[in-house]
Amino acid sequence: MIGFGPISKLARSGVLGMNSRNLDFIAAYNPRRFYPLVDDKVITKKLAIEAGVTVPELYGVIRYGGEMNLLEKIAEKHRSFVVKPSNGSGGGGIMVFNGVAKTGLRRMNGQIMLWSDIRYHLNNMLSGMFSMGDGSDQVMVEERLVPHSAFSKLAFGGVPDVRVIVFRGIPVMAMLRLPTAESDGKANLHQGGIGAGIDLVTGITTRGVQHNDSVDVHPDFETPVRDFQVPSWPEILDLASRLGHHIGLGYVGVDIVICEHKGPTLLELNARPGIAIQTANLRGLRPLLLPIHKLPSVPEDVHQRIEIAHANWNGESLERFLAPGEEMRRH
Amino acid sequence: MKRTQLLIIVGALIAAALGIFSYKVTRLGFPVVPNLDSDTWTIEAKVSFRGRGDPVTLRLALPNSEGQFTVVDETFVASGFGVETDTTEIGRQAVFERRAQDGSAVLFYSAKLIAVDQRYADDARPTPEAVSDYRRSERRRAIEENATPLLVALDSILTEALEKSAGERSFITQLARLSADEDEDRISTIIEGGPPEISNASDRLVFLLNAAGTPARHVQGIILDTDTRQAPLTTWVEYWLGETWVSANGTTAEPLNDARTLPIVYDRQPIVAGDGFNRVGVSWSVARNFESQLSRAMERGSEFAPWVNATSLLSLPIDLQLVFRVLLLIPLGALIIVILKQVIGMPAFGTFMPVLIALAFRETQLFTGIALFTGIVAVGLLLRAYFNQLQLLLVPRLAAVLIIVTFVMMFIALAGEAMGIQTGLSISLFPLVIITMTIERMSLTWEEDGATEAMKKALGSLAGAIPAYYILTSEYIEHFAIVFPELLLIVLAVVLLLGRYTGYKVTEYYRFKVLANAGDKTS
Ligand SMILES: Nc1ncnc2c1ncn2[C@@H]1O[C@H](COP(=O)(O)OP(=O)(O)O)[C@@H](O)[C@H]1O
Ligand SMILES: [Mg+2]
Repeated sequence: MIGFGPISKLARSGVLGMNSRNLDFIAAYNPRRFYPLVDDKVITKKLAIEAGVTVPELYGVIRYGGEMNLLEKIAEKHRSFVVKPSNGSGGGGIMVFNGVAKTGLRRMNGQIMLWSDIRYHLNNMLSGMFSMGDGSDQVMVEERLVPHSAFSKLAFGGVPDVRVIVFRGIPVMAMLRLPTAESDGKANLHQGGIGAGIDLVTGITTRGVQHNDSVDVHPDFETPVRDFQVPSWPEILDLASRLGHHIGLGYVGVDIVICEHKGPTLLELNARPGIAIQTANLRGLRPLLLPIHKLPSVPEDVHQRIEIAHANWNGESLERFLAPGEEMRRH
Repeated sequence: MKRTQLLIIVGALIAAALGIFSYKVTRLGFPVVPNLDSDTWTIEAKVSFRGRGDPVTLRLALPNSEGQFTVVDETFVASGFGVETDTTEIGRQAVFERRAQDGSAVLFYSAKLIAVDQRYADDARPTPEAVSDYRRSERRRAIEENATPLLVALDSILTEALEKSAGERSFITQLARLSADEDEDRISTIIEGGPPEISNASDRLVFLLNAAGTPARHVQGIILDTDTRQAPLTTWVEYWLGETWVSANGTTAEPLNDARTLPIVYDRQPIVAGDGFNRVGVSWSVARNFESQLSRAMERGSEFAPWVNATSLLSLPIDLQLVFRVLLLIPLGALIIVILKQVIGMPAFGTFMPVLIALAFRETQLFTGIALFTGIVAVGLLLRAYFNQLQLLLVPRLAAVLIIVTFVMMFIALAGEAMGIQTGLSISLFPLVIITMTIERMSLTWEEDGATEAMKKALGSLAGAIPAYYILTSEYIEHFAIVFPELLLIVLAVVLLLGRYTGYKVTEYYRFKVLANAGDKTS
């Protein structure tokens, strides 16, 4: 491609731009009719269970304002749970509760949210205020995941998660997202969370970024964010690869929480995963995606797919994974 | 496969557009640049009155073809009335008659005005004569016989103006300046002693000019203006300079643009006269049509290529043309959006918000627009935050914001009117819904992604609206769009091409700078 200096430098680094992501990967690999499967978290949960993947237990679904007493019953029974709009995105509307008081429910920061405020918030969620698309939504109430103790000095006031980009069922890049005081306990990067690049083979973090700037230590704990071994790494890759293969979407972001009790657990799927993961890994996605794009077929066996993922990350040729008689696709 | 298909479509679109365009320009002579002076106008008069059950005769003064314009295509709509035109020494008139008229009635008159190319106007018109009992020779004689204060003051004023000036034109300007000062002794003497009507500045100027021997007359007519349809009757003066009548401001004697003045009656003749009716009212409106070069091209087109006219927007009625002038700019707005989003990567609320905002600015002018927009959005945001505290449901809350924004706009319009600022008309067209949507989206972004993100997007939307505004208000682009709508096919082609643009956005260069620079070090 001809272009002026800075742009061609960007091209050489293999960065995947938004336009190319949308056309070459999302439009080409993600049929629109499968979007509801990942946009609706209740459906995603069913699919994940089919694929043999651990998910947070669903306590109930609230569809109308009148079903509000359901929440009181669940609160009575489980005490610790999460309320979220089923079609939400970017963490909008999510409330995490870990206890019940007379006047309301206790939030993670210890404050009590009054029942009237909760009712108002639920109504907002039901009217679709936090949801993709227009119109109303339903509210799901699910088990609260407790982050793995290895993160006690790395995640401030929230749940860290691992985002894995899975292409044709093969994990291609991953990052660890750590909430900070600034991000208000949310792991989203644009809200000020830390993104740490992960070596896809070993599961060890390589570097961290916050707001697009490189950071070495977590600002709230002063603990280093690089060279951290993500627990249960092989299981994480296994989960991501299984799920990515099972659903009809070729290019997905799989968000995984490593739960203290349940191990790697699926949080949500994303049909349009962001491209910031490249900055966290200081590596462009394009050179990792193209070899997989050229594979004429992908093995059914999850272990073989993970082998491909390792080779691909190390920059090895994927020729050896071709079935006898197969040839690489041209373009 | 998809690529080649797309390229074929794009090629065909561009070829078709350029083909039609060049045919229209080279063969039919359609003008490529708008000819802003020689144009045609449509004027309309609406006369309403009440009859008393008696026979009605109503005389309406009409513009004539003697000045800058030729009047053609006159039509009258007056059901039940007999109509004829009549030219008397006081001008052209339409005479409407009916045996008996009871209750209210409305009559319409409309005509087309074609600007006369002054190079071909016949200049064999007789030179008029100044009409006055006080011209120099008479005045001198009168002063010798009987030096009344009026005559002395008049003489002194005229002499002073003459002394202070060099040439006819500056004499007139000096005279106007002297005449405007009513507190001056000589002027007040003239007002007291002269004919009764000259307490009014423009009548006084006419009186003085005639006394000085310069033929002058008082005019009532219409100033042709592209911005408004309503055209109130205005007064000005005309004086004879060299060999033409010059239209000029009645107080300052500053010449007016002849191509934009349409005289209807002279010397305070009435616009409507007659008997058998009362409570009469006349309202005038004007609209600009397309250039005469264009109509000549259209005429040529109807001989050689009838399809050109059949598909031309210029064959539509004026009202529809006005609608399409705005409508046809929307494809361009869409193109701007595609470039801003796909190639530059500007953050903004919603997809077409910047263009909608720019369309709103078209009504208000850019600076007022930005000020109004920021002000109303700020008020709306504050209110929304307050409604949030009241814990209202989503849709009622939006509705409440909408209602309050309506009130704010009403208030601004009233305040503007009270302070004599002309915001009233423009703000009423300022789309309410766009503002409300902006407020809602902005406060959502504010809550979820913080103030910086919301500000970034708000600024992005405004920044996108500014270039869009300049494009949507350019007279040349408007001309191109309505005269050569086929060129919009090229816009379509470009948009289609950009639809398969997989290159980087400009903002991504900044976003991934580290990666680009990291590549430098390793290679
Ligand atoms: N079951 C849960 N247990 C604990 N925290 C949760 C749970 N579900 C969501 N969260 C918190 O909410 C954030 C966003 O949740 P997610 O399911 O990814 O929704 P979204 O689609 O809005 O991003 C997570 O990063 C996490 O911090
Ligand atoms: Mg998420």
